[in-house]
Amino acid sequence: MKLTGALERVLAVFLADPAESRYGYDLMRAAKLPSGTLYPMLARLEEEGLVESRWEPAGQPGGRPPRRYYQLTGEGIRVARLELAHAAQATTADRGGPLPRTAPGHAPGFAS
Amino acid sequence: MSAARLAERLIRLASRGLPEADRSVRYREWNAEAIAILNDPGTRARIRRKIRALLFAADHIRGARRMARQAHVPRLGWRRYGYLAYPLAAYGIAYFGTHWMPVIHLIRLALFELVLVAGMLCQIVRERRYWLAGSKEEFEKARGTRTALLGMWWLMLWIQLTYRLGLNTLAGSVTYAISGALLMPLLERRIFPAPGITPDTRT
Repeated sequence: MKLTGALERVLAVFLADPAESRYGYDLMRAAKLPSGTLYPMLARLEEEGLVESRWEPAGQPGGRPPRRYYQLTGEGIRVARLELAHAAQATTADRGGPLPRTAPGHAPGFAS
Repeated sequence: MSAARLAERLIRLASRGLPEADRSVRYREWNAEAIAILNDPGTRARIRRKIRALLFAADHIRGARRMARQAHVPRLGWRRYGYLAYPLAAYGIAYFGTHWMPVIHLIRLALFELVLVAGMLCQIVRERRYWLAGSKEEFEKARGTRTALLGMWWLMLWIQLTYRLGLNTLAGSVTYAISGALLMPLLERRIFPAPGITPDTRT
């Protein structure tokens, strides 16, 4: 699984409460992703067995059609935690790396 | 057209490109979400809800393409250019029909050939069982397309007869009619039908 920024956000939203099922629009708002990005991602995660979905029972108030809810599977929780931990580790390593050397008085972004 | 209807149309359009097994499920899911967005009590301004629902629906066109790519669904791709052949041919005849300069005549002939080849190729890449007309309902639905094609053909014939362009162009018109008939099933959108219509329901 290639961890992109968008996928990272979706996994983080899911992991905020792994027991909670979420519908598409709710995930879109929480992860701040458009529908054209989120749904293909959910389809891929479901195909890989990391996410499972279920339909809301029929007969919703106001005659609203049933929604589809998504939730991380056990394997999904494990993989998501691992991937996010790797991503966090990589970010820390990047930040802790050597700073670029600059001559005194020639700090980038400042005119001497 | 209401926002709900427009959103539904956009979702229908988007789900058309999906694998057949997935199509109706996704259509149902996205449509339910769009309706929920339109009636979202958390957003007070109605216009905002409408914009959100329409953006949600419109972006599925992009998303469905990505999903189809993930599922390795063959896309219309170059077959779409089959559609271009019709206006090109009509333009060629209407504009260059009265000129007999050799180059223009050649262009006109090339356009006819393009129509013929495009029409035939479109048929070849289709499954054989969809070549002929489908059910009565589908036949009725395609009435507009059929009328437009026939209208174009009559217009071309009329130009040819009015300007007395000779047998050569008349033969071209017949070619156009044949290729039009061949291309008809593609125009009726039976390669990627709307959700709910599966190949099994076709007669």
